[in-house]
Amino acid sequence: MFQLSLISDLIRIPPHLFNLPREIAIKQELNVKHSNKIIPKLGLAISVYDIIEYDSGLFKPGDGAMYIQVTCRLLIFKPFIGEIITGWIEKCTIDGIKINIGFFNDIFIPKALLFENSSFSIDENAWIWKMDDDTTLYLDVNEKIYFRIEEEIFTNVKPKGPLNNDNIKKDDDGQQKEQTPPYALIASCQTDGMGCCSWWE
Amino acid sequence: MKIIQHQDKLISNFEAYQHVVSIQKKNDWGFTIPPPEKKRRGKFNPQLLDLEIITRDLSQYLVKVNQTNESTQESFVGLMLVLNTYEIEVIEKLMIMNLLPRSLVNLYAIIEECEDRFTQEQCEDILANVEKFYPAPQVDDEEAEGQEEMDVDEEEQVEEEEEEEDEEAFVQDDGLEHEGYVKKNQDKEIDEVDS
Repeated sequence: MFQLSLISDLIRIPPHLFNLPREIAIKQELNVKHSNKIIPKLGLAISVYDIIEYDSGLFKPGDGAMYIQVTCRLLIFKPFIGEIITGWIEKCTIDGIKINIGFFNDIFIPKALLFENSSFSIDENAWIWKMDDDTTLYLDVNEKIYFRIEEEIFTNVKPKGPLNNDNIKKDDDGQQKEQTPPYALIASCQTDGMGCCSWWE
Repeated sequence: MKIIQHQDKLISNFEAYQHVVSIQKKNDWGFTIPPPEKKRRGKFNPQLLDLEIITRDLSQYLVKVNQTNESTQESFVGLMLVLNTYEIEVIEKLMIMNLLPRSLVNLYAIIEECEDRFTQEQCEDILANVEKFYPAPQVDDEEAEGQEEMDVDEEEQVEEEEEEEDEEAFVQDDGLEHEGYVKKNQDKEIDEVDS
């Protein structure tokens, strides 16, 4: 589920951090820049794991800050394809199930990747799996489930423009469609051992 | 920013949790570990808000999944050594360490073509070892008992409710209002009064 990635980055240390030991200041600035952010084609960065090396730094004319080239390892959330993860059902819709794992919310199980013979019940707001003629199992909201990662999708998200009247009008029109997340995971839930944790105990 | 190596190492939940705990200790945060008794004043840094949010959410997730503050390096190494005696792929070992399967179905889901590669005795041996190094928590029973006793003991009732609230906050994640902000605002008020 987690991995370390080696990256190199140019970090700006503002003057008010010069009193800190260099390594701590670098770590802090790296965390400010990368924590809780998606790195395209990589995954969700959690924090700096360790610093491999850094150079002595450069000053630029007209700027009191120091620029340091750093090589470090980041702790990245990036499940591999086929990995089994535990999560909680956040939302059931006719299209599938949305999973929540607390720190990352863009995991989706489309209906095609659910168990065979499952159907969505609008009244109960849950997916129902008819295992055989006698047994029906429910996938309810907030249920703890196992699922398998099938695919990861990275989207380039453009920065939001300033909020002027034009933009607000556009937002009103486009409120129906949800904004595509920069990093989304498609999961499946159709083999033995998947689904609610309580089924298999 | 340049990515030199996409995947340097895979990290297990246990290691990730150790790392998150070290961040909490360094910053005097107490999301899943007991908070420090005396909080150092003026430590709040709004720039580190993202780190704080991800630390809180990730540590709470890992605790809810299976990590506890009691799980030690010895049990991790012990189970790893047992798994090394079998011919299991690295990622399968990683998933066993992360998910701690308690039943054959779960183990079969983790290991590909498990029936062909291992006999049932071997599988049961793996499960027994998981149980040996990571005894299954008896949370469900205790909670059930607690609910029965609720009517009798008022104090327990309060505790139970608090626990439930915590869980809800985690699942719905409404609680983004976080203590750092509150603390900062309080500090501001105090400053205003002083001046």
